[in-house]
Amino acid sequence: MADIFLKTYTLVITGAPYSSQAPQTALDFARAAVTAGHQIDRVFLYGDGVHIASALACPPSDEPHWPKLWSEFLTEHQIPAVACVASALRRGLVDSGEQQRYELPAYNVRAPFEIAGLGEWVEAGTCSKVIYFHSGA
Amino acid sequence: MTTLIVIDQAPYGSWSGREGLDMAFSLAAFDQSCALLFSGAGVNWLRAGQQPDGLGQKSVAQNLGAAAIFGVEALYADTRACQRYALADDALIAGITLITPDQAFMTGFENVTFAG
Amino acid sequence: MSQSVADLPAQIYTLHILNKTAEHPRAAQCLATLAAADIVLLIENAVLSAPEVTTAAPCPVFMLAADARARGLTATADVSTEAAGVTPQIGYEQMVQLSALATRIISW
Repeated sequence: MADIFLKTYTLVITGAPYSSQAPQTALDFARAAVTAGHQIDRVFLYGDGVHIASALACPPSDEPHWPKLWSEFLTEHQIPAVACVASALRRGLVDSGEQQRYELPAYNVRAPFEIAGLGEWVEAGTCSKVIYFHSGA
Repeated sequence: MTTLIVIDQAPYGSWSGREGLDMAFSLAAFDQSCALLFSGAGVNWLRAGQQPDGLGQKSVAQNLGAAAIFGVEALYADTRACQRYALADDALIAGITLITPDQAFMTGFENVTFAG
Repeated sequence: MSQSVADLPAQIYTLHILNKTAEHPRAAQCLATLAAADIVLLIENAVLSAPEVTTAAPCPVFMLAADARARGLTATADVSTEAAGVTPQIGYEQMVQLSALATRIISW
């Protein structure tokens, strides 16, 4: 496929794992996009989607481990991933910096996810095709 | 690059409206052209006189009232949804433009986005 | 039954990605904004409303094969269902192609 047809995408996921299909549909889309030679500029977790970044999810062994599958994909392809700070903090997804700042007993954000603001989403929208994966509810 | 943020869920019982407002205000803060559309049950965010303190929630009336100053270019509401929820002109907060969100209207925006 | 790139239009103004069944208010909102040059892609639960959406839409409608298969909607070569307007099933690869072709993408 000619390079002019290759795109740069930002994926925004607002549906939580185990409550919606959003993380699965998004991952299958992401894999297909990368296989086809497109670039994924970043993945942005918003609203309930921040639960994909949990280091503490413990699904049964015969179910897909969505946080782990996502972190492996992002690491393999070196795709930056952000969980929106406002959505994450409210829902108890914190990194070590936030743990210290708020004197919390632990932190639980899984690498390579980072916590950042909506500015990352705004910036992504100026330079890539943004696709949203919402809950079906 | 004009973005329309659509809020179609009712206030206080669901949070996607607040998340949509955050998106719109972030776009405006970064000087990106954006507008808000309230449709379906989301038009109820626009009713005057909301007092959610009894639920431990904050009213967004002040934010919406200041939307234009923050740089949100327009606050649109679906005419039919307003009728359905008995929101006559005098029941709405100020600064709302009633429209029909048909194909012609939606084509005017480069991005049409929901918060969830 | 999968579509090849050759079967997809050269230019799509808007790709509408719908993941909710027809009775969801947002599905009705989606249908109200469709133009003939658009494409609708039904994913997740929306595949269950494929016949209804395909009839109502002024533009081509596709659905994700994995979601159809999960919900027991198998692709059939039966002539009578062809006549009734079977919604073509595509894979994630073609979903990416549709998204690359579209001028804008709306996830409802």
